[in-house]
Amino acid sequence: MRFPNLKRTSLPTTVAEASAIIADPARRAVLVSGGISFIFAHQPAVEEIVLLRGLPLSFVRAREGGLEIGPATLVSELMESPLARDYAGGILVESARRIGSTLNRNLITVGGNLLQPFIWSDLPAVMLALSATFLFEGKRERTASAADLFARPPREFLAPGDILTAILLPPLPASSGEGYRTAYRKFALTENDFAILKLAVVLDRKGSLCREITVAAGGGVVLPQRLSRAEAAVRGRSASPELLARAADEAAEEIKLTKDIRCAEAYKRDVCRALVRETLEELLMDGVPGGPWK
Amino acid sequence: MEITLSINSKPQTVEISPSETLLDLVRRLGYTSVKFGCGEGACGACTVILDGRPVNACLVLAATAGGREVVTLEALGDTRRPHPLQEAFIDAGAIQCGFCTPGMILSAQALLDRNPDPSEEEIRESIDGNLCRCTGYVQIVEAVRLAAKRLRKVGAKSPGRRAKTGSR
Repeated sequence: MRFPNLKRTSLPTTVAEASAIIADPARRAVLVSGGISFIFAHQPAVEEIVLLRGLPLSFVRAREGGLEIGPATLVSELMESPLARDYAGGILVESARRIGSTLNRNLITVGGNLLQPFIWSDLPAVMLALSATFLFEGKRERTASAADLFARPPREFLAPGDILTAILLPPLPASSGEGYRTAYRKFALTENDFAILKLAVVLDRKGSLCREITVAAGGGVVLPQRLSRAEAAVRGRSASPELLARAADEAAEEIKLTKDIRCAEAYKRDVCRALVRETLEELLMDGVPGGPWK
Repeated sequence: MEITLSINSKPQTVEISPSETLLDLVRRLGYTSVKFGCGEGACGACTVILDGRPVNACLVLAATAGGREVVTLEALGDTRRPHPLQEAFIDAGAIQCGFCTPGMILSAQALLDRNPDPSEEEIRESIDGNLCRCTGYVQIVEAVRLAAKRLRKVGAKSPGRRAKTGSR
């Protein structure tokens, strides 16, 4: 038996019921919807699991011009959703497709990938780039922007009894048919390896003019981070190879990195520089899609 | 606690411990084609099909399988009546030590249930969570392609199997 402290399982039928269970510190309970693994590795004191199967938290649906995703939605279900495929140039599906293996994607939930972030998690950077909002229910209903949720580990943000009930994605800008572009790029040493670095870019352009841009990186540190200096370098300017090289240099300088046993920090900064430059060339100058990074 | 689930189309009510994984449960019930490999969702030796989707049984708590349909390799065929996928793995030389084979075949089965004529890229993606450390993947991909071709020829999804692999 690998989890000797686990004593109870509950199957609530309402969010309020689930919230009350996890809010009770004496019960030492955690929510489980998809697979298990690191929950237990990191919380050996867990004595009760609360199964979310009885709650209607698995959905992908249109909402006020944007999208609403249930946290219990499997990554593979997200990949199969026509709504997700059509939203924001398909960045949700593209990033979901790069999560783990087929077997993993049939177990990992969207909410789990977001609220239990590890350095290899893919969706946090994408949700940050898309300016997602997270809806929590429990003792009280509240929302959090992706920027607020990922400013520190989500477990520190959550109040006792908080349950993520939806991820809300905003309507796309009116120009989304013309100049709205997105990309998710992941650089790994092998197909199934944890990525050295990941990049989610969302921008709005007119011709070569970059009207608005969000650049979010994953894999530098555990939490996703905005590369604001790189964004500022191109925002409101016409793209040129020199400008994009400058933005890439800014990104390589500003990105926060943690130790990685696979490579030196300088190598990771070089990867960041190349990833940003090639992705921006692709999106703003119609460069070769993906290049060697796709 | 007690749960009722279907394993290879056979409804079963079983007593489980809250910490028991689906891998532990199916092996305890005698479905030993499901192997313990890494225990952390990396190798695919414990693959089962859960409600139509192949998953790592080592990462599924048995408690979450209540009311669901589980398929193991035992549902497909045996030495007397092998499934076309099993035959194709033999014919293509896709088995060496055999430890990964049950998982490989179930991942392939789940793919063929959805897509009877997959491309090589789709075959490779379907088995990307099943690691083989001795045969290599060329013969395995070839075996899946061969099985798909044979199954399309006979016009049946899975004529050799005795149980459905679930619905999606």
